[in-house]
Amino acid sequence: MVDIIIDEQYCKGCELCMHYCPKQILKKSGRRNAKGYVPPMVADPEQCSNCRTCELICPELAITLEDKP
Amino acid sequence: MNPIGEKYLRKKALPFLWCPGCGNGTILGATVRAIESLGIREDVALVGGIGCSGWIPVYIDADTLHSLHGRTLPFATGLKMSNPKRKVIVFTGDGDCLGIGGNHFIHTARRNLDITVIMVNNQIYGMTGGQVAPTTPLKAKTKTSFYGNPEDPFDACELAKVAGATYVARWTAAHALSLSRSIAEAITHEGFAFIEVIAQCPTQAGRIIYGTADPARLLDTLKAQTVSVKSASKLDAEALQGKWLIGTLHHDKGKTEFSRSYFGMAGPRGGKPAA
Repeated sequence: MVDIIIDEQYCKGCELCMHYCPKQILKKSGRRNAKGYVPPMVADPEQCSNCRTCELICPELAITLEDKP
Repeated sequence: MNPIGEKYLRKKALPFLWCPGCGNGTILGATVRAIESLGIREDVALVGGIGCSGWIPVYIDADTLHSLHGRTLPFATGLKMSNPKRKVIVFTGDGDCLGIGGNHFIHTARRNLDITVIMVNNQIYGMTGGQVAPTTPLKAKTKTSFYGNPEDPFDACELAKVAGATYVARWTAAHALSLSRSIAEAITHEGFAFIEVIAQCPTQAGRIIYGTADPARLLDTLKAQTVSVKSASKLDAEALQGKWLIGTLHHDKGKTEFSRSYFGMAGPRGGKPAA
């Protein structure tokens, strides 16, 4: 199991993580951050396969995958 | 912020100046991961040119040189020759590397100087407003080619190969993991290593050439134009028309590196550079 941590402060809402997630578990959060961008949220954390695609493709380095014990 | 970002980035310079969905951020991430995997942070020196991609080294907390337009490779040559132990990584754009600095590029490749060049190819002059670049596809409409680009684009990897580069690879920003591994391989390779990264520029190339400002759709379009080296061997020439080959295109370990041959000839110091 992993925790997907999204640092909303740095997110620019480009949606690359949402598009390239093989399980499509990232969705639009609907909230706006201080800059006015809409960051993603994890809709179904149970489905995450820990492939780290979102973490690697994020152009703002705003996504972290942390192993949960 | 990702822990690798916490460790390697200059916090004061954040956030990145790039547009939302720009490929440069992914390339920056791939580079810092490669540096982390090799554990060479202290030896790294980064050189950036002019253009959006020239800002990549500015955000990485390591020795950094921001040089003149097109002159990244002369700066990098000086940096490398002053201390051949340095791992010099050059970030340059397609216009910077092939347009303004084209001559420096072929000669540095010919010398086989041990540096790593990461060329970010967004197929357009992005920062200056979308002018036609040496890599803009044939017939593509840009701000300075209203009736379509009449010129054929450069194949930078082929150029590097024939000019004498000993490591040549091409990836897109969608292949972040492979790109990171390839950068690590290029840094360890002794000789001129050239990596072309096809990156999405949603603001200029996306809107003007491809008709979409959505980074994901644009990156998908670019990715659909690529064929991996392995599967290309099974395809005929017609199927490969207008496609980019991705993967490691050339790797030659036999050629002598420039600083080695230069200081080997220098004589009095017994082939050792000044400390």
